[in-house]
Amino acid sequence: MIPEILGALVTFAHSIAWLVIGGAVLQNALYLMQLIVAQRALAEEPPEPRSAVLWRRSHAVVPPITLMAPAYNEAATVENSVLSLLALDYPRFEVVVINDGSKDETLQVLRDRFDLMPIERNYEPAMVHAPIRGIYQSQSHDRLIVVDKENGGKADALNAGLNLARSPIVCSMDADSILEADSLLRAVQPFIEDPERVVAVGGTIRIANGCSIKDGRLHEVGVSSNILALFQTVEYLRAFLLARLAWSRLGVLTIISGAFGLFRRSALIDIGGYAHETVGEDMELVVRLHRRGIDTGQPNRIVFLPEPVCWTEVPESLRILGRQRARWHRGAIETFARHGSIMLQPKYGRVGMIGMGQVLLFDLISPVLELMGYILLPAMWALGILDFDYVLAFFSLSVFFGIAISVGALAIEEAELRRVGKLSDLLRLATAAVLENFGYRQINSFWRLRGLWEWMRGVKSWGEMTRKGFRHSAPKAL
Amino acid sequence: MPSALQIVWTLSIALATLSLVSLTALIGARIFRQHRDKCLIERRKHLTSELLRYALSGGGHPVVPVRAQYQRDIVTQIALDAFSILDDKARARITDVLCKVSLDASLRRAARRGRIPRRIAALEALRLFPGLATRRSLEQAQASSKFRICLAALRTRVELGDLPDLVKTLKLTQRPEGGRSLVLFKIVEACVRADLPVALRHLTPGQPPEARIMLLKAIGATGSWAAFRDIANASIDPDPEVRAAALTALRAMAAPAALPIFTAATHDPNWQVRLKAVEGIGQLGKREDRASIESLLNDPVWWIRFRADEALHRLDGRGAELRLTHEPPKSRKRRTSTPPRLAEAS
Repeated sequence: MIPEILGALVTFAHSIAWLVIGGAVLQNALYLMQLIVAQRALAEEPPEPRSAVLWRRSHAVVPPITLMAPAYNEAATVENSVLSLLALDYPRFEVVVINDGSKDETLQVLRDRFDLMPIERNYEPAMVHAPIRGIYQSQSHDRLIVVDKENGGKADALNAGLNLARSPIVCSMDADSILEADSLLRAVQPFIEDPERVVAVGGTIRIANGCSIKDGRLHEVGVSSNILALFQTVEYLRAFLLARLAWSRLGVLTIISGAFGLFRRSALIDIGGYAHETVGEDMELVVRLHRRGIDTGQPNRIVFLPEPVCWTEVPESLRILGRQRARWHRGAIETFARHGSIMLQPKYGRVGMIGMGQVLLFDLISPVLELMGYILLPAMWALGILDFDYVLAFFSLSVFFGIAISVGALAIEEAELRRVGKLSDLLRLATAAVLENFGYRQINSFWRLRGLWEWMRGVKSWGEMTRKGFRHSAPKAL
Repeated sequence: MPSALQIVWTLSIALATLSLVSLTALIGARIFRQHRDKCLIERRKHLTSELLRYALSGGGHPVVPVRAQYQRDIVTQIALDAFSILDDKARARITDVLCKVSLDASLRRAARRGRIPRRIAALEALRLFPGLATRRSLEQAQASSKFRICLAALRTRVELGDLPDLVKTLKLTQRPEGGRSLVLFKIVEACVRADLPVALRHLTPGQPPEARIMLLKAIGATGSWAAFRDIANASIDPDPEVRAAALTALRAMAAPAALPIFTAATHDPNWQVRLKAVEGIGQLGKREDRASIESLLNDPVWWIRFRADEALHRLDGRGAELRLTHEPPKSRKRRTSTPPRLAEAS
């Protein structure tokens, strides 16, 4: 009897091991594919290095843009962020800051700094949103409009911004982020080159922790001395330079970061704007844009560009980072729950199969399999029912393959974009690219699993994000 | 025979090693490049002053390095920047010295092959070298299957005053990216300005709608009333986009005779045509035209109500007092601020 039970246990252990290793192989094969596609994309079409050239080429033909910056409890950063928006190098734009019922001094800071005066502005009530308490125009900066509304969440604030926008192109962003001066000029290029099909363009988000910011402008690029921020810098490189660039190249991009994205306003209105009842409104919106395009027989182009850059502050504490990651993950699962069915419908083609397929693999299956691998495989080896080869194979896939992908992302960055200013910063990032695979990635899997658990429990909250403000993020001497 | 598991971990370790080696190589390259860039800044300053001195005075032939690609790029950039501040005589001197080091031939080669951004940059830089060889290069690039290459070539031709053939240019509107290309429109506009009669001859119903729309807007932008009759005919075209483009053109021409056309178009079933009509009346109309706009204050499309209100405001300053929307009174907003600089329909 005992040998039979033992035999069944061994078979079970082997099945689990093959499942976990198979999942890891598939996931890493996709990472490798992203690396190759992204490298080719950047090698074939490196971004134009000089914004003066872009200005010369396109300043006469660029469409007007409305920047929509929702702000909730952003008193620490809002002044610098708005100053950076107003200083953008773009011929035709207006800035609409939406104060989403902040409990802190956000509105007061804006009033004091920008000399706001109440106005009445007629707007198209195309979207439903929480009531607006007042609309203000700056007396000192006539491009600036501030909308004070009752709290309704980021999606609600963006919908209010959509109503108030009067430009064909809108830019959604976070009020705590800083756009590079030429980012609009770069991001608008696909709208100029292919205005008929392009409905959305996303840019790269980079990490401002460790950079020097002066008067709302990025003064000097640096990397943070905080190890968590360093790990996130590498992680963002992987996510933006590899994943999004590769998916965009293949026409299956399913997310444009809420921190910086340009959209055709009419397309957003057509699909009913941002969804209220999800924390992953940025991803949900892009999937809906894809669906709408395919349903109406006019496939949309949704593009990611590596060069328009938006700088943002990231959490430097495990607690806040964990909450943020669980929320992001919950958002991805919510989107999959809503739109996952398109995977099985042939008419959605690559968007359904690859676009939603990768959400299923990376966001739903992989965190479960990864944690199973980290816990069950060593345990089963310790119990003597699994060979060490299995454990070694899984950990080498998880750690060494992980190093290959992270270092590969950094290599692409260094070869094609060269945004890391100092050699010492590059070396620190290289070290982080190796070290993040020993612990940080595993914690990340746990956070993602927590997101899955929260989704299953029906959690809907956003949680809190404490910001230090860019003023304090000057680079430290090494 | 290695097992599948052995292959997995061997491959993983090999890939990690490979990536670390490549990064080390890139770091080495960075050290070399940082040193080179430091020298380059000084070199660039020196070269700029040398070229400018030569261009302005003609004395002392400058030594222009063009061996390496980065040297050619820098010289091209300096020359392009300098061109915007120099007169024709000085430009000719720079062109002359750059031809002597065969930069023109190098750019023509770069325009033919390689990465698209580099080809575009080369095509743009060819404006430094007006002449038959450049023209041939640009014509060749114009036939490229890559739309961006075509546009770059056409743009340079326009900058050189060597306007491309309108018919061939209009054919580009049939490409997937071409129909509404804002860059292509500017090129068509330049062609139309140069030869309006030819443009009018091609404004026939036989042309594809995309080409006609682009032509109409470009003809309107010339402001020439000679085109009035042709555009007026297009304003009753069966295609609503053509009708809207015709109204845009009439508005750009600012011909008072277009008012009856705008008034008639306020009843068009297509909302974009009605929008153009109300914008036209707002710009060209008089107080007597109020009635035709007032009816649009009840239009189901918000943008038309908004523009109608704006138009009335412009005609006699009373628009803001009229009913603006169909929304419930609670959410109804009334605009009293200055008219918007930006517009959805612009």
